[in-house]
Amino acid sequence: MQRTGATWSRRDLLGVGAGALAAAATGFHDPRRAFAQAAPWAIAPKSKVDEVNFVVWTYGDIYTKIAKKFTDDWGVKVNATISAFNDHPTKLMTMFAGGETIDVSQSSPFSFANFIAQGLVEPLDGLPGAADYAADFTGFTKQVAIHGGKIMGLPYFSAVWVWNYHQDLMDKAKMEPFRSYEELLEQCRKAKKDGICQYPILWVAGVGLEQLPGTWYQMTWNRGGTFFDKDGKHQLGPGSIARETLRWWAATFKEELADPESLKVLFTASAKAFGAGKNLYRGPNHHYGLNIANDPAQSPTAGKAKVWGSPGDGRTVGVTHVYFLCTANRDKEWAWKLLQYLGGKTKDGRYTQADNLARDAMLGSGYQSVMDSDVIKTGWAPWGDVPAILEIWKKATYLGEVVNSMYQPWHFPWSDRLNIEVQKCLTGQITADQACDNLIKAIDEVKRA
Amino acid sequence: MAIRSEPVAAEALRRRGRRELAPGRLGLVMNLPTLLTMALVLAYPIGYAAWLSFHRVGPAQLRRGEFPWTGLDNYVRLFNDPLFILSLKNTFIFVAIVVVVEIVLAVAIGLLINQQRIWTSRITRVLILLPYAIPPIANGLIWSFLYSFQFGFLNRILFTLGVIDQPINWAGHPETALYAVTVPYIWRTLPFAVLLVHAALQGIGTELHEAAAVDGASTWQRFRHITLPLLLPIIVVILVLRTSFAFTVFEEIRAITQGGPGDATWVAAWYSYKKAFEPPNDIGLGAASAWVLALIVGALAIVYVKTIYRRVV
Amino acid sequence: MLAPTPFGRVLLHLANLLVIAFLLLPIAAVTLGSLQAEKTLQADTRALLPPEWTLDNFRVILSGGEQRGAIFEQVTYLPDNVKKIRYAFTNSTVIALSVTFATLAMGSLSAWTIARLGYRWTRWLVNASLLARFVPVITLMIPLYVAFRHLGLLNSVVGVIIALTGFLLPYAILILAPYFDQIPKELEDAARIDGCSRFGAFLRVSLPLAAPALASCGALVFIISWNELLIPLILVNKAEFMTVPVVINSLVGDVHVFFNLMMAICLLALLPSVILVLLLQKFVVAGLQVGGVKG
Repeated sequence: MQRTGATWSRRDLLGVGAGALAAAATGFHDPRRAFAQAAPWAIAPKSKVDEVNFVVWTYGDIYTKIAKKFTDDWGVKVNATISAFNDHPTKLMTMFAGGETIDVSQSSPFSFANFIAQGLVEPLDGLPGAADYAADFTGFTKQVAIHGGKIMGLPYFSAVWVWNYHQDLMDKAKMEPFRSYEELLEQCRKAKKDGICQYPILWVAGVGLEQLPGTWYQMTWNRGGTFFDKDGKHQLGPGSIARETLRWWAATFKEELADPESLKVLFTASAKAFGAGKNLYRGPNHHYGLNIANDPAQSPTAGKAKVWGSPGDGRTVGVTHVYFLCTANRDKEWAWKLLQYLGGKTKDGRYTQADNLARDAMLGSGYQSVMDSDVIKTGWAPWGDVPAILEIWKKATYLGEVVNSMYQPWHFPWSDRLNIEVQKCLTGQITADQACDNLIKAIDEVKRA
Repeated sequence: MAIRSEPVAAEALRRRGRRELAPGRLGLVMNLPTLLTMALVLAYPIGYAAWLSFHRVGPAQLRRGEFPWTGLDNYVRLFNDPLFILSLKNTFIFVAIVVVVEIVLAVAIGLLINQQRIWTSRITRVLILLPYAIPPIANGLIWSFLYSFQFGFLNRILFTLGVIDQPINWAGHPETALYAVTVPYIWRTLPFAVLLVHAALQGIGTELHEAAAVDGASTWQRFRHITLPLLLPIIVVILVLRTSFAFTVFEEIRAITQGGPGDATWVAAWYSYKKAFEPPNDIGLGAASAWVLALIVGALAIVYVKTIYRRVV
Repeated sequence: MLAPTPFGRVLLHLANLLVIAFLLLPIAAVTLGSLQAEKTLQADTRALLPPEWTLDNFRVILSGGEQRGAIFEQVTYLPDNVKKIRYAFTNSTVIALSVTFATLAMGSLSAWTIARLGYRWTRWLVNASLLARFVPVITLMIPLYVAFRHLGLLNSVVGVIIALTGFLLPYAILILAPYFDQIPKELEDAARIDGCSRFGAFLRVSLPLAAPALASCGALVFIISWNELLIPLILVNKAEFMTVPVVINSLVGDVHVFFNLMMAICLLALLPSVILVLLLQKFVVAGLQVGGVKG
């Protein structure tokens, strides 16, 4: 991770203002700065507000905790609007269009370009401490949070795509985890034939921005393909790796190696289902599912879900989700303060939220200093093999490299089409060729709208 | 009243008349709250929806308060969108299944609960109302538990009965998903149709049946030639009402399939909702598609008001 | 009806059992689902009855997340909307009662004028109400959202009450007008001779006589407004103004919600209207049979 992070900052892909970076670098490397009285996160804004608010998607009570900390530290009430992950963009847009005040909100990297294009996102450049944060961004985070050369957000969490296998079933089948896709299929066929399990693979193929699409993106990238080249030209034509990957993927459904439940499940639901111990493998998806599949409170087979890397050179994908300061804020200074509680440092100068997320939810951080700290190593340990995950992390590329339409506002509606076409292909209604042809056509349609 | 003589009464009325509002005015005043509320919530939005459908309306436009005129653009995009055409097609299939099944079941169950001498019919008569009370979104969720491939209740029943040995993927299969979502909808909306049939049956005397039985007509013949013709008017009412309401199905789709798998259960109201309220929030397109739906249902409404309502109800 | 043959009786009993089983199927599912832990549900996916029963799902909902019981003891994440579900029940109750009251008040005023005054425009109101019944909610919601945003009525209980009242008024008129029509006009005339104004006669004579129709109409309006999803869903996006169906909807896509917890919420959500229907059965049937109500 550290290595890739460094590579990216050198490559400076998105052209962060050189000045900002230089300032950030000096700020970050000066150890006195963090402990000085004038640390930006410890200074109260001059203006007065009665309350601040944020609009986010649900992650249990992390927001209750951090909101309470904010109120305790600054004496300002925090109002939270929290919806389900897939409903969040709807809720946010409805509130924004409704003329409501929104200080801070959240975005997946897939919707961020759309939110920026719709004028929801306020750049952070020049705000006290912003450059320091940018200097600590990991490679993934830079590619999401820095847009058009400006700092547009602070990281919520990072995740990489990993495979899972179920130890009990592997033992029963007397198998070692697969090394190639052919071996994967052979193992699955054998496990099915031997009655080890009815459906050896559970994919994450439920409708969403990164669930079903993410599985396809990851396997295409792992086989050496992308979805768009550097000039934004699609790579979905006949014979393309993406197309062949989809064909291969759909075959696992046709052969009934894939669990039909795959088409319904998102990350958490698939982790819960995998915990039932009825599948040999769980397809590539966010690494932190282990914290559910291996949680004794939630899973009948806790401790049996194991992490596994991808075949070949093991390359995989990763993402960072972000918090951003909304243009519909009531007070920029206070909104920035609140934003830092969610995606940066609290008054005491600690990455409180990022640390908590690592400990409580096995999430990765968008900050290099957190990723390098013991919080990750000790925090993740109860659920999985931390060194193995960090090893996979090193082989992860930001998903934007694979699907650079993510930087376009039309990626969002195109994803809608992608979910439909790919599900139709996986359920055998259309072929992989038809699905890809339809998606190529859809690119022009969504660009026009 | 009897003690008063007529002229006194007339005089009293006339005196009242001078002090109170004229009937026309009174009617207007008494209807004011209704007219205002219905204008705000029904009449104005319907017109405004039509207006919006000719404009470009998205979050940015809403915030600025300017809606650029786009003419028929929204409608052109709508009818060029294969997903909209498919949504309409799915809606028609959904409606056809729902209405046919409901009419058959309503007549059958209506006859069943009309059996005074069968004590179990009394239980059915009480329970038939139950689905009417269930919030549609809760109904959808409950059926998603029934249908679940992974741990569903329906499969559990069939496993327990020994009917199946592998779980069935009720709502997750593209060929069956649309049929699967009709069942919860029929379950929830059946009481209305049954009660209408039940009411109509109570209006049919027993004399005809008895006379026919004396003449040796079988149960089926009596149903076919006496009951069914007399039920026909109410069947037409059910047909029109259920057709127009089933066109707007939303909650069960939202809770059970969210339009999937793929596009297998995209229906008209789901399309409008997704387009208008999910990013990129194309409210103009959403309004256009909702207006198409309103026109289809509106045509049925006019048929109902002009011809059926007066004759039957 | 003619007496069925013994064989026919058996068939009829069987048919009844079949219908009753179909009617109770979802109720059985939601009840069994809400009385077990998700872990139990996952552990054995074929058993009809769980090996262990628990009331923890209800405990956690009713205590607003304070009491977690054995199932939720270890769970670090409990969605906010689950904790706030008690407010949703309050909102739903306030909204359903207000809408019922407002609809009955306005509806009976209009229905009486239609029955008694018989102007062309009051008769036209009946036709308008009939047509209004057919308007799809989704068509109304898009412009209502834009209009209510303008009027500052988004995110308020009042906004939802106004919208629902307007939406349900046509139903009320169609149920109440025929009833007022069949109350003998002479009763009002007598009251007028005794010194009542026209409005007084409506208030003191006809309105009390219309009690059964008001009960029918009130029960139906309460149930529909308690159950309605789209109107509050689109007009409200703050947790403190959400109704029960909106909260349920918000949990549909929420992967962090335990499935059995959702079943418990559904069961609690359907109880008030089910109890109302069973208590006021006669009136609900009468109201539905006037044919004035959506199914």
